[in-house]
Amino acid sequence: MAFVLYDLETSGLNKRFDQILQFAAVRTDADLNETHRFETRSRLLPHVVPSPQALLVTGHTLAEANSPFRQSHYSMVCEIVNVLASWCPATFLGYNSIRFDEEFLRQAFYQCLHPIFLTNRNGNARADVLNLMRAATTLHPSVMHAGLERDGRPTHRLGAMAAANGVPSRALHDAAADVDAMLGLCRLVRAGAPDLWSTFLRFSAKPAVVDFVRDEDAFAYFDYFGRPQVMHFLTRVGVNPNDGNSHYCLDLASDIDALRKLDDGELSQRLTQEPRPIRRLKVNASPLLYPLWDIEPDRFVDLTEDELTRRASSVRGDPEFMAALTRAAASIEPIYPPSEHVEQQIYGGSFISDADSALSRQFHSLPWQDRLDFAQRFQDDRLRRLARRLIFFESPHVLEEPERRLIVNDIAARRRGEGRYTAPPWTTVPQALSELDAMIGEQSEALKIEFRSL
Amino acid sequence: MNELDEARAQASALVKRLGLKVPPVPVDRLAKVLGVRIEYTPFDDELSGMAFIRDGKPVIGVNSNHHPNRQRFTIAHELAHVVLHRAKLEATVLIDKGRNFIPRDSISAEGIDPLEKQANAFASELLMPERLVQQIMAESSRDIQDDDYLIGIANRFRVSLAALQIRLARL
Repeated sequence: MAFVLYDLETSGLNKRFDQILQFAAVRTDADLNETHRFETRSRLLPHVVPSPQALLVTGHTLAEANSPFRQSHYSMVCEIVNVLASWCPATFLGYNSIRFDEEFLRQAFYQCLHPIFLTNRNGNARADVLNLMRAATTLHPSVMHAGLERDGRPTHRLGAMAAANGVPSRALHDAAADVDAMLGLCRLVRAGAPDLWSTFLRFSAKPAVVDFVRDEDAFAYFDYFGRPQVMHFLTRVGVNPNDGNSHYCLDLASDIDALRKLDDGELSQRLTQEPRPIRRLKVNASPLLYPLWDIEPDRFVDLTEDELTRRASSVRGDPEFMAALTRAAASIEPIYPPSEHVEQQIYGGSFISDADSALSRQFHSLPWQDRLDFAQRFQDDRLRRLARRLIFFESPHVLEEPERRLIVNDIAARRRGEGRYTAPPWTTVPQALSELDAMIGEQSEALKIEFRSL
Repeated sequence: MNELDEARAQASALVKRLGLKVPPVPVDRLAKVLGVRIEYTPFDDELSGMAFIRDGKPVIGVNSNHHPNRQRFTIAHELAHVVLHRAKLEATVLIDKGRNFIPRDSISAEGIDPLEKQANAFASELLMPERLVQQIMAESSRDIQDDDYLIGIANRFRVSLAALQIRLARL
C-alpha cells in the first residue's frame, strides 16, 4: 500500500479562516520509493486577508497570491481531492499535520463541499512525522539528531532536522521541497530504527489504537511534552462522553490511593492540578504506544514493570473508581459555545448526512447556473451557506444583482473589520497593517506598500 | 500423529510455556520471546503478512492497515512458519532473491498448500488453546449457536467469530 507525504503553505496560521496557497504531495510505495508527484497552487479567496508574517515565511508576495493566473481556491481543492482519491488507499504522512496541515485540508474540503475525512476513512490511515522525529531523536539519538536553532537550542523544525541529518532541502517553506525533506527523514528512521518505524505505522489507524488501549492493562505512551520523562505509563479508565475519540487514561505514577479517597468534586479539582493524573489520548491521532514488556528497563525510571502492572490491575479491577475518574475528567472538559461563523461549524453540528453527501457529489458536476437552485436541496444549513458562497466566488453572475451587492459589501466589511465584524476571529486589513508596523526589514517594507493599497 | 496434529502440538507447547490462565494469548510477546521481530507495514490489502529471514534472524511483516484481530492471526500464522518451516524460510533466502519470503495472502488462504494448512492449524491452536476454550465454555450453559454469546467469547480471545466457529467445530 502507498504512502502519501504532503505539505501545504497557507495564508496564515488560523486553520478555520486562513487558506491553502500551495499544496504538494508525493506518493510512494511501501518501501518509500517515489511513484507519483503532485503540486498545485491557488489564489487568495476574496474575503481572506493573509498574515504578512505568513507571506514573509513562504516568500509569497501579495501580488502573487492574488494573481489572476493562479487557479481559484475551489478549483485547486477539487484538483487535490481528485488526485488524492486516485492515490488511495494510503497512509497519509505530514509534518505537524495532525494539528495543522490536515486541519487546513479538512477545512478546505468542508468549504468546497467535499468529504472532510479523506485521510482517515475508507481504508486510509494517517500519522504525524513530527511525532516520529520527536520519538526518534529521543529514543534513537544515534539514528536521528535534533536540529539546532541559531542560538544553539535543539529544535524539531523540519528544515533544521533535515540540515542536522544530512537530508538535502532545496528551499524552506516551499511545500514540494518540504515534502522531499520529510521523505528523506522518514527513510532514515525506517533504515536506522525499524522498530520505531513499525510502531509508528502500527498505530496509524484508529482500530489498532483502540484495541491496544482497551486490552493492555498498562502501556507506555510516548509524550514529548513530558520531558525529561518521555514515557508515561498509563491505563485506560474511560471515554469522553462527548468525543468517542478521546480516551481518558490514568497516569500510573500518580498517587492512586490518594485519588481513591476523593469525592467527585475533589477529584475534579485534583484533575486540574499538576502533575495531572489523567491524560487524554486521542485514539485517531496516531499516538506512539508500547506494551510494557517491549520497553527497555531503564525507561521505567522509578517504577518497575511488575509494580506498574500491579497498579494497573488494581485500577482496572475497580469499575467504580474508573467511573469516578471518567466523570471527573468529563466535568472539566472545556465547553465551546456554537459559533455564528460557518467556518467554525465544521465539527460543531452533526455529521453530514448520506443524502447531503450524495447531493454534494452532484453539485460539483452541474453547470454553475444550475447550482443555485440545487443548493437549496441540502438539508444541512452549513452546506447551503457554503454552496452559495462558492457560487459567488466562481460564478457571481448567477446571483441577482442585489444579493451580489450585499455579498460584496459583506466581504468588504469582513476585510476591514467593520460593521458587525469589529472583533472578528480572522485577519483584517488593519490587523495586517499593525502586524507590518511591528516588523523591520526590506521585505516587510515592500509588503507594507502592497497592503496599504488594499 | 499427522502433520497437522504435530503443528497443533507445537503451538500447545508454546502456550504452556507462557503459563496463561486466561485469554487472550499475547502472540506478539511470544514472538519476542522466540527472537522474532515483528514489523508493521501498510501492505497491499490482499497481503496480510509474511515471514522472512533478515541478517539470519526471523522477521514477521504484518499489514498495519488490517484489523487487530486479523493481525493477531497473521502473526500466529507466520510464527508457525518460523517454528515449523524454518528450513524453508532459510532456503527462500538462498533460492529466490526476488521473493524471499512466505506470504500470507489470498493464495495461501485457500488452504491447499500443506505448509499453509499446518500454519493455520498452528495459529488456531495458539490463539484458541483447547484448554482455555474448554474452560471458558464451561463457565456458561448458553447455546453455542447463539451468536452474541460466541461473539463475546471471540472478543475474549481477540479472534474473529469465524475463526472461533472453525475452532469449535474441531473440538
